[in-house]
Amino acid sequence: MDGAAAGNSNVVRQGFICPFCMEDFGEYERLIYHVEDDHPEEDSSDLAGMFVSNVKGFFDKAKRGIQKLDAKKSIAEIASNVESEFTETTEKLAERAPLPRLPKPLPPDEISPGTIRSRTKEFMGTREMNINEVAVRTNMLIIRLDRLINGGPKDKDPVKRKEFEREIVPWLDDAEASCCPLCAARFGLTRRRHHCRLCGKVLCHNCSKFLSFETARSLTSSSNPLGDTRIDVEETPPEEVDPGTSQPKEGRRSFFEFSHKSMDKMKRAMAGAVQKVHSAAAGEELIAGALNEQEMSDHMRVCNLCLRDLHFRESQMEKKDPPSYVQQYEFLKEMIEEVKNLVPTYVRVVVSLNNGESVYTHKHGEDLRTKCLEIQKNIDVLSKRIAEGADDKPDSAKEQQLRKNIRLSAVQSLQGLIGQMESLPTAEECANRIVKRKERRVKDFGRVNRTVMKMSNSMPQLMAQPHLNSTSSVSSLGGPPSVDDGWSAEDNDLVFEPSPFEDDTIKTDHPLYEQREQLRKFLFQASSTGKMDEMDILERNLKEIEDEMTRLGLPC
Amino acid sequence: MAARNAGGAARPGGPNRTCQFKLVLLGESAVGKSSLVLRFVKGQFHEYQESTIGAAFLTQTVCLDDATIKFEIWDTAGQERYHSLAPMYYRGAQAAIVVYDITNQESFQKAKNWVKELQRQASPNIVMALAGNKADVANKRTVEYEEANAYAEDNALLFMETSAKTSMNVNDIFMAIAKKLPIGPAQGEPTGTVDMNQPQQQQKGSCCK
Repeated sequence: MDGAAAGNSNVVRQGFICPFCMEDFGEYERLIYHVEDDHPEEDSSDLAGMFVSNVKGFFDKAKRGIQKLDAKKSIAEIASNVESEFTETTEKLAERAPLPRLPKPLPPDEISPGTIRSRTKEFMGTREMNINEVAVRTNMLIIRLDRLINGGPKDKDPVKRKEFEREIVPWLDDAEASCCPLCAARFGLTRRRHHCRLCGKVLCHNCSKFLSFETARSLTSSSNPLGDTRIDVEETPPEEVDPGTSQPKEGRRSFFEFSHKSMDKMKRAMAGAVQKVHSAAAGEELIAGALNEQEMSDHMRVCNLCLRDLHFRESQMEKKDPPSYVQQYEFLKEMIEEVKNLVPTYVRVVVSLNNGESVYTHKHGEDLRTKCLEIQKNIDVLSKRIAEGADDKPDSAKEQQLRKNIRLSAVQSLQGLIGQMESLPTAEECANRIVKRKERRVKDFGRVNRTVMKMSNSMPQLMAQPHLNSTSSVSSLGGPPSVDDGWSAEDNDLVFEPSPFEDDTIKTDHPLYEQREQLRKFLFQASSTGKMDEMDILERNLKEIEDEMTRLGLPC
Repeated sequence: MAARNAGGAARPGGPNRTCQFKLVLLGESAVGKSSLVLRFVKGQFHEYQESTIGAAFLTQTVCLDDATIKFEIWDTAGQERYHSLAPMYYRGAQAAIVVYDITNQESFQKAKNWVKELQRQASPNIVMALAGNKADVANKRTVEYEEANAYAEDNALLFMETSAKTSMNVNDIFMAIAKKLPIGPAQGEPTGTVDMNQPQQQQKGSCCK
C-alpha cells in the first residue's frame, strides 16, 4: 500500500438524504418527489420522448403488417411476430440508451410506515415528573400528618397547639392573602383567614375540610395501612359562619362521613349527616356530647387539595391490596350469578317433566336440583362467614354494616331463588305422565288425520298437499286441539298406519333415534350450564324430530 | 450528466492535488455494506449492525503518493423496498462497490444484477468493484472465489474478498479504487472550466446543509 487513510469525518449521516443537496427528507416519498422535482436527470425527457416515438412506430408497423396479412396466416403467428418484434425493439432501446429509471412508487404491500418517531420517552419523562411531584407532595403530607398527630403538647390548650402546628408547617402570612384562593371571597371581619394544617396555605372557613385524628392515624400507620379505611371528614355547613372559630369549637360542625366503597353507604352516611346538622342547630352542649362519643375529639383543618391527595393515596393503597372480604364478596357474586342462571333451567325442566314430555329424564332434573341446592348452600355459608367478619381485628361500625348488608342481600336473593324452585315430580309420576301424554297424542293424531281426510273429501283442492297439511298441524300441536272443528273427543280409533305401538322392535335402529339421543345429550349439557337460549333451540329441534318420528310412525 | 461528472473530478489543491469522488455501495441487505464502510471510515466493527434506512453518508480521505482523495461514500440500504432509491445515489457516482456475501449464493446473484444495472444506467466510466464480504467465515462459503473472480474479469471489475470483521482487504479495495480513479487534469477537464463550475456547486451544497 502506498497510501494511508487520513482524516475522516466522524459524522455518519443516515436517512432519506438527497444525494444532490444533502437534505434529509425523513421519508421515502418525500425524497423521491424532491429528487424528481428538483434534480431531474437532464436527458430523461429525451429518453422518454424516444421511447414513446419508438413504441408508436412499432404499433404503426404492426398495424400495417396486420393489414397486409393474407387471410391464411394464423393469428398465432402474428402474435409471436408481434412479441418478438416488441422484445427486439425494447432490447435495442435499452442498448442504445438506458431507460429513464424513475423511481416507482412502492407496491402496496410493501409501503413502509415512514419514519417513526417515538414520543414515548418524552411522554414518560413528563409523566414521571408529574407522578413524582404528586408522590413527593403526598409523602410530605403524610409525614407532616404523622408529626402533627403524634407530637404536640399533651394538654388541649389551643394556643400551644397552634404554636406546635406552626412549628411543623410554616403558615402563610395573613397579609399575603387578601381573599380565599379557593372561593375567591374577600377576607374581612366576617370572613376570617384560616390555615390548612398540612400545607399552611390560607383559606376561608367555608372551604375548610376537617380531618379527624382517627382517620389521620389510619392514614399514617404504615404497619397496618388498611386497618381502618374510613375517612371521616367534617364539612362546614354553609349557613354556619363563625368568625371567631378556633380549634375546639370545630366540633360544632356536623359529621360528613364518606367512603369510596359504595354509593349506598354514602347515602346512608349523608342521611346521618343531615340528622346531625339538625341536632347541631339545637345547642352547643349536644354537639359537644356528640363529639365526645368520638374516641378522638380533635380534628384538623385541612384544605381541599391536601385532602384530595390523601384520599387518592388511600384509594391507591386499597386497590393494591383489597381487604379479604372484597374477594369473598366477588366470589359470592359469581356464585349468585351462576345459580341465577341455573334456576330458570331447572324450572323449565320441571315444567317439561310435569307436562309428561320425554325431552328430559327424571334423573336430569334431579341432578340440576342438587347442583342448584349445593350452590345455594355455599352462598349461604360464605355470606354468613362474611357477615361474621374477620376475627383478627376489630371492625369498624361501617365495615360491620357493610358485611351485614352483604349477608342480607345474599339471603334475599337466595329466598327469591328458592321460591322459584318448584318441587320435582317423583320418577313414577314422570313415567305416568309420559304414558298419559303419549296416549293423548295418539288420540290427537287420530283426530287430526280424520279431520284431514274429511277435509280432503269435502275440499278436493286441499288434496294437492295432504301430507304437508297433516305434518304442519301435528307439529303445531301442543295439547289437545280446540273443539271448534266440530270433532268431539270421542273419536278414539287410530286411523293412520302403522300404529306407534306396533313395531317397537323393528325400527329402533332408525337414524332419527340416534339424532334424538344426541340432541338429548346436548340438551343435558346446556341445561347443566344454564344456557337458556341454547336450550330453546335444542328443545325445538328435539320436538321437530319427535314430530317427524310420529309422522313416520316410529314409536317415541 | 457530463456536468455532474465534472463535479467530482480533479481539483487543484497546491502541489498535492485533492480530488473528491462519489462512491456508492450496493448489494443485497445484510451482506455487510455498512460494516465495510464503517471499518474503512472509522475502523470499527459492530457484530450487530443495524440495517440502514434510506442511505448513509460518510466521508473518508485517503492519501496516495501523488494526490489526496476524498471519498464521499453513499452506503445505500439493501432492503428491496429501498431499491428504487438506489439510482439517485449512483447517479453521477465515479465509483461503486457491489457487495455480496460469500456465504449466500443469492446475494451473489443480486450483485450480478446490480452490476448489470450499473453498466446500463450509471455513468459509463464508473469504476466498479466487486467485494465478496464475510471472508472470515470462509468455511461456510457458498460462492467460490474462482467463480466470482471469473465473473469480475469478464465484466472488468475490481474484485476482492473482504472481511469487515477482520478488516481483511477493506482498505485495499478502497485503495484499489482510488488508484483506478482518474486523477489530475490529464484525465479530467481543463482546470479553467472546473474553476468556473466549482464554486457554484460548493455553494449549492452548503446552503442546503
